[in-house]
Amino acid sequence: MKKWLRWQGFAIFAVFISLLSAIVWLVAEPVVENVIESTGSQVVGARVELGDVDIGWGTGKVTLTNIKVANPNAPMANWFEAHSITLDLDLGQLLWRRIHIENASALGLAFGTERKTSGALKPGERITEKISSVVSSNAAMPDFSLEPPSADDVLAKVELKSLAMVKKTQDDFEKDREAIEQAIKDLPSKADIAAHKKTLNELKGSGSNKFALLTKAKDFSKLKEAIQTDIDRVDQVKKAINTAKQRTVTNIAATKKASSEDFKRLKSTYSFDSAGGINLLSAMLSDTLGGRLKQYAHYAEKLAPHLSDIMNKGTAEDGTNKKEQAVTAKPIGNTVTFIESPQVPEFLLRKLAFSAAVENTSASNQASKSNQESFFSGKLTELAYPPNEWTHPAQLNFEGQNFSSIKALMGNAVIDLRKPGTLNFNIDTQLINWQATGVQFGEQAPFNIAQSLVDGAIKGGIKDNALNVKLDAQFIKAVFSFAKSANSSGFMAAIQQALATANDFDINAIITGTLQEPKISLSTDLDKIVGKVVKQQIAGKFKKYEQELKQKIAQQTQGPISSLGGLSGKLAGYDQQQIAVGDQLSGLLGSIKF
Amino acid sequence: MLGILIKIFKILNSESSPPQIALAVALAAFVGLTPFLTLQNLLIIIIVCLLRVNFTAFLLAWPLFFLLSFILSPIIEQIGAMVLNNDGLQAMWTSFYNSLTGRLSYFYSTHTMGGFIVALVLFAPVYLGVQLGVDKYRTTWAETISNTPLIKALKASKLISKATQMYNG
Repeated sequence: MKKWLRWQGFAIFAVFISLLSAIVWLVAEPVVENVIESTGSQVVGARVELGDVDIGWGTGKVTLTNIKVANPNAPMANWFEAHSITLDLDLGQLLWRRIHIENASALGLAFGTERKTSGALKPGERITEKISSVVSSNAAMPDFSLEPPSADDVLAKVELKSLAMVKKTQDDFEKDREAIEQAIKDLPSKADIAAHKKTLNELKGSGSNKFALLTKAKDFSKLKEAIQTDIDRVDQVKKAINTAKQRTVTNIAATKKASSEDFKRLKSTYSFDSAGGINLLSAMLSDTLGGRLKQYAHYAEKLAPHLSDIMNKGTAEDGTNKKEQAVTAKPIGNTVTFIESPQVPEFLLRKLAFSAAVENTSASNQASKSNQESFFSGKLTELAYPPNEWTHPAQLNFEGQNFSSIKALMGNAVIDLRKPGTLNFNIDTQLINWQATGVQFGEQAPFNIAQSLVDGAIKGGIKDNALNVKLDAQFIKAVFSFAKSANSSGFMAAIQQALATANDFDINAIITGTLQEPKISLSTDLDKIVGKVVKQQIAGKFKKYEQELKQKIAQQTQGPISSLGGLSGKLAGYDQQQIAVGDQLSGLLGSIKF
Repeated sequence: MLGILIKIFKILNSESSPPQIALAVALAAFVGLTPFLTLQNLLIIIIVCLLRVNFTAFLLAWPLFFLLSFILSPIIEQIGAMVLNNDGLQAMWTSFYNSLTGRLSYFYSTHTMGGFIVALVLFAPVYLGVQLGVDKYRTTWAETISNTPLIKALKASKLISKATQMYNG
């Protein structure tokens, strides 16, 4: 045995391990830097640059310095840069081939900084997403022109309900008349009545004594029954005539009513009434807000496959956690993952604290040389991959103060990625002294809020893909800006005048539905102001249009409606026929005294 | 290529016994056919260092088996996947996966498992084959091969190189 052992082999092993460690020590930092830069660039679609990577081998602390992530849509600017990002890795978990970061901090974050060189991956390349089609897919905006339309044009476009009613009345009458005529044909004829008379006379003349009459009792009874049956048929015809009369009268009344309804309908549909004016700005703002949400939906749709991949990792079709195969580069092969007990995620970021130094360009702050510090900071906790292998949802908390346009901002979000197919997101944000500029009222509106100071809150979130967000904005000061072309219109001049004094107003919105199909219920005090102006403007202009419309409708419907008046008279002739037959039969029946 | 040939002849003509060379080559198969950073490969390297096996043979065979792993990759991975997905072995693999040894061994990779099984299967044939080959070389072919013009030329070039080095001081 001694022959096979060489104790100096320990020295060889030590040298071997030392050499290996030295190689790893020398190569690791440049390799990590390279991997972060190349993978990051691929993911972002623009250059990701690192100044330095420092790995603390004994402590598990990794420090990345001077991180710059270029904006793929604007390569001469950075999306963000950070002075340093420090990660405290759990070395014990690394042995299990898991990356668990106990603490991470990102310091000196700055957004939208300028770059000296282009951040495009290839020279001259610029990746710009076209989302204008998504934003402009909303409903058409209300027309600001208050010129009334021509009554002839309006009537050419529509089918009058009153004319349709005239046709229905005539059709119903024809059907009733045919039925009545058929019934009258089936009534007992003169010959039938004469036969009844003859039979009666024969029975009466066969004998005058009581005994003789008694022997004919059965025949009398038969005759009586036959006459009664005929009388019943006459009564049915009478009923049918009365029903037809009633239907005709009702139809004529409905036709007359339809005529006035036609007028009301066409008046409100093709004119700009005060009700439309009252909801004008709400509709326009809803359109703007809907456009924004569709923009977010567009990004959410892009993100969805990636989120779905993350959320479904380690989950079988039936929702249970099962082993699966994850393909990695050859010749490492595929890894087969077995059920873990207890489940521990491959990646876990327990806490990431971030802070950004924000340049304060606020005019008021500069003017007053305010010493108030601007900052944006927050923390992201419990971010796990795969998310369903961790007990907590990821949470994001953030706050900031003294931005150039927002005095204070705070919010929190719970991002629960553990349930496949659902995305739950809660947000509670408060805006204090938000300097909102260029608030658009739809794409075509000839005015906007150029400058304003707003206090507000955004509360709610997305649960199981359903939106439930409440937005309250209280405008403290507002300056409206009007397009030059708008000034020429009398209506716009009136609105301009009305809004000039509108400093203090609220805009409230409740957003439900989905990101793709948001339902927005929006109300604003501004609508009352605009509604009043609309009412004043339309008072005289539309009177002429209404008179013309009434006249034209009358011209089209008066003749046909008058023609319906003779219908009831036609039914009267049938009445006389059935009365004559009925009277004769009743007379006969009355003469049978037995 | 010439350097490798010289190294092979050095090993064959060294004082190491045929089993020492054969064991080094057979152990190199484990390290070469599987991904390097695993617990079992560290143990094999310790064994190679502590046992009186031919270290040069190990270092020479390792890259050769590594190249072979690329060629045999589809077979190796198929074998690994078959074993890891075997229903009867699920309980064992799951329990192993949940241990630190299981994680450090990286046996849940089809390539590690397949490569290890292939190395295990090849162990005896490689060990016996190399031993037999070295024996045969030393008893039968050594004399013949050393007299071939190629080996003579190699030896001469080696002598000339040494003489030149000595002359240059």
